[in-house]
Amino acid sequence: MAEPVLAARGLARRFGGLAAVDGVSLALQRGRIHAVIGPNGAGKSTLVNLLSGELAPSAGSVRFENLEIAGMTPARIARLGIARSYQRVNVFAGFSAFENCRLAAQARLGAGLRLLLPARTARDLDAAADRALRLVGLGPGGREAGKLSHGEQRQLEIAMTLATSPKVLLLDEPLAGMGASESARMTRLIKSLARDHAILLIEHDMDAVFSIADQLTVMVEGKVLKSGRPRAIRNSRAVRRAYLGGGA
Amino acid sequence: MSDSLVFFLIQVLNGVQEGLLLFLVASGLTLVFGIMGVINLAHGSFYMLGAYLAYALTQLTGNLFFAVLLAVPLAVVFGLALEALLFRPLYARDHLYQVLLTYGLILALEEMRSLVFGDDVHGVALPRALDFSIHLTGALSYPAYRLFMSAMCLVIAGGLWLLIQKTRLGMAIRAGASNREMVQSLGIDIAWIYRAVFALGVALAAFAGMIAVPVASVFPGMGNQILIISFVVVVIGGIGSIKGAFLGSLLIGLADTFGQVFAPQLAGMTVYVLMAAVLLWRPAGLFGGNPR
Amino acid sequence: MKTRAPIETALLALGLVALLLFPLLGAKFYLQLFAKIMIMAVFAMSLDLLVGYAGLVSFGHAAFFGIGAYMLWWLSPQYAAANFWFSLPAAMAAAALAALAVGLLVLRCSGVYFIMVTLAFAQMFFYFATGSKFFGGSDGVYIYVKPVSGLFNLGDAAQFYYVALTAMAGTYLLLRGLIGTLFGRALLGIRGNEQRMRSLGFSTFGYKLAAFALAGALAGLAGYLDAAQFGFVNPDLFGWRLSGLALMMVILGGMGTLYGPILGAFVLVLLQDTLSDATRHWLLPMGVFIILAVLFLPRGVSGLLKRAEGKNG
Repeated sequence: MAEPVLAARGLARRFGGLAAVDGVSLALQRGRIHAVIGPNGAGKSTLVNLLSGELAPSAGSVRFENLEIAGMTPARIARLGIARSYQRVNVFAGFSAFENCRLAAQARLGAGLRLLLPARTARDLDAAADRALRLVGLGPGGREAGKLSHGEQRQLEIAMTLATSPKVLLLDEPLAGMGASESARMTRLIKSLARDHAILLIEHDMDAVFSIADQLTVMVEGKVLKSGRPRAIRNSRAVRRAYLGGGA
Repeated sequence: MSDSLVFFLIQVLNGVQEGLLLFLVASGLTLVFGIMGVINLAHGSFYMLGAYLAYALTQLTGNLFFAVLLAVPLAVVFGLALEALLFRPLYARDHLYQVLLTYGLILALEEMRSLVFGDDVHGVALPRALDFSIHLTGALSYPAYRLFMSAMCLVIAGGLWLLIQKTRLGMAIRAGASNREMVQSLGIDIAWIYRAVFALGVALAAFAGMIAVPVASVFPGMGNQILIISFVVVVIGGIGSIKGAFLGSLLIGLADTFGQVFAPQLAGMTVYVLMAAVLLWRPAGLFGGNPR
Repeated sequence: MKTRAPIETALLALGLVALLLFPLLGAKFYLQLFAKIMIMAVFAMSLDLLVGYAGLVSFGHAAFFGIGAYMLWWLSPQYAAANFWFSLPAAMAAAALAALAVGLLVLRCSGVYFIMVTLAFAQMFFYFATGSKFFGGSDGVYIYVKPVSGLFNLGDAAQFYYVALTAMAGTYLLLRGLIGTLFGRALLGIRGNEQRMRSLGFSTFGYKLAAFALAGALAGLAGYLDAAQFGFVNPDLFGWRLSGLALMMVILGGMGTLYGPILGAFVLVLLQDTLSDATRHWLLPMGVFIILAVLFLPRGVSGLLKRAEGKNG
């Protein structure tokens, strides 16, 4: 088994008396898709926020390639190579799709005198944006992001994360609100991205999850109920009872 | 009790009185922002309006209490008119536009005041019933009127507390409601709520101006002065938090009073130093939520 | 992010030519008035960098204007002239440093808090200057001799006019250039969705602080020139009235355009001048004008122009 790129151990987050995430451990490897499923309120989004740095953990550790990243700011974590997409579309509405990706690509540059050069000389950013848009299947990105269709906006979300050239992708319900054919296309896209990235996939769409996930973790009420290969999860009685519904 | 201890006590009483008066103004400001999402730079002008109304009506009736009884409804009517004409179009707009409109409003109101009342400083005599001092030690005594002011402010603070704790509107305030849906979900008509909250804010600020007149007199620029300090209170206490406004006001009142006594060269700056210190520690104020 | 339409560039060029030729026919009074307008335009443009590009609504920008002005007084020997080439950069540096210090504190706040704390900090400077005997207190201080440069004479109305014009054009070009860099793109991103910028990997605080310091330096430039022009400096230069006026110029002209604030400066200073000649209580019609402008002209004058363009184009 490959070395985990991102490993969370005993991760917990409490809000007052409530533990939204309680003792969760999981690992992401390059080339693998690790899906996290569970009923609403299970703590999946909180988990993503903990991994991306938007929330600081109350306990536990997150290691990225031998570096302890728990407690780092989101910007620092993103620059290390961990990118996340959002469940609710979170783009720059007034900019075009291309400009959105170009800005995302700029994030990797950090600070430096390069920032003071005229922006049009930054052809590498243009190329990175074009590449990201092509990968997700969005055409020439001239249209205003706020005016794209829902499915296209979700594609843009993914494109923006790709434009930052990440090693890890944290995808928070990328298929939310999509129709059948759009979902199928997005699912194929995510599968293809797995080749070069380590992917965490939060999803409710069971067909998609079971078709592409290499590893599954089921969360209920903040805790890990079961973790393992898709077949084992599907056959688990406990999981069926808690989430998938009784019966085969 | 020794003289210096009594002196200290007097400063505390002064600080508390200043703080409580400030609380009236700041609570109106933070309520209007917390419930309606409107930042009103002209809030200090209501304080000024109250003071000038009290002055004018006292000249007319010869009695401060009558003047206050008349002036509060007048101020509220004026406030409601402003709300209908000027503030309602702003509810949906960015804070920037609210700031600018109310900035223009301050300028206009200041000039109107100048036209109607002139630019002189006016005083109002202490009402006879309260024009005495409480003897503390050989040389030191404390004006009863100031104690009365503090008492009035505490009564109002108590009333606000009841409002916050015991009514549905209070629930919305405590929840930090700053959007229409939340307030609407409480089953209260939103337009009515906005008008009531705005009127309450005006009444609080105007009343504060009125009872302060005998000790502070009326002068040009009094509204802006207290507005800015109210901002500092709201920043320190956290927007939308009455508890924060109360604590912040007392802190500022005491800091300002003691600052003036012990470090007069820094006059006026102690307040801002305090604000900077709080901000370093809590960017959203003591009781504010996330610094959105 | 749109590229500038040719009509806007043409209008700007036309405006520049007009301003260059103006002294040939203007009386001294108008030269001084226009110089004052152009100085305010520098101030307003520096605020537009914050408001229109970084999304930071500062209601205390006059703090740095005042610092620039007081620095000139401080660096001027009482009855002799300061050296222009030393005192101007020094004034701008002081303003930038102050902006850096204030920014470190206030940029931790956002939204309404930011508006309030910037106002409060400017007031702090105001109260400091008012209470300080050294700095002249509320009466202010006088600069009896204008700074000398060896190249031009600031006491001559036409030459001062050209200095002001250079400052305005220079500020415009500098800011226009900056907006066109990757730094500028990041600022616009911060204004659009700061949280997303952070999650992408941008350290937004650093960008905001840099913008805040630069805006402060340019405000200091405007304050310095204002003090050089009138020879009188008082705490009102830190005041909220001036901060609000600058903000109004930005909005009235159209924020996020850079030339909008220039337009706004022209309109508001001319309005102020006309009204104050007409009545002692000119702040009343001024206030009413501002109220009406906010209610009916949300995108400012340049918004009107854009709409006119849109109908024809």
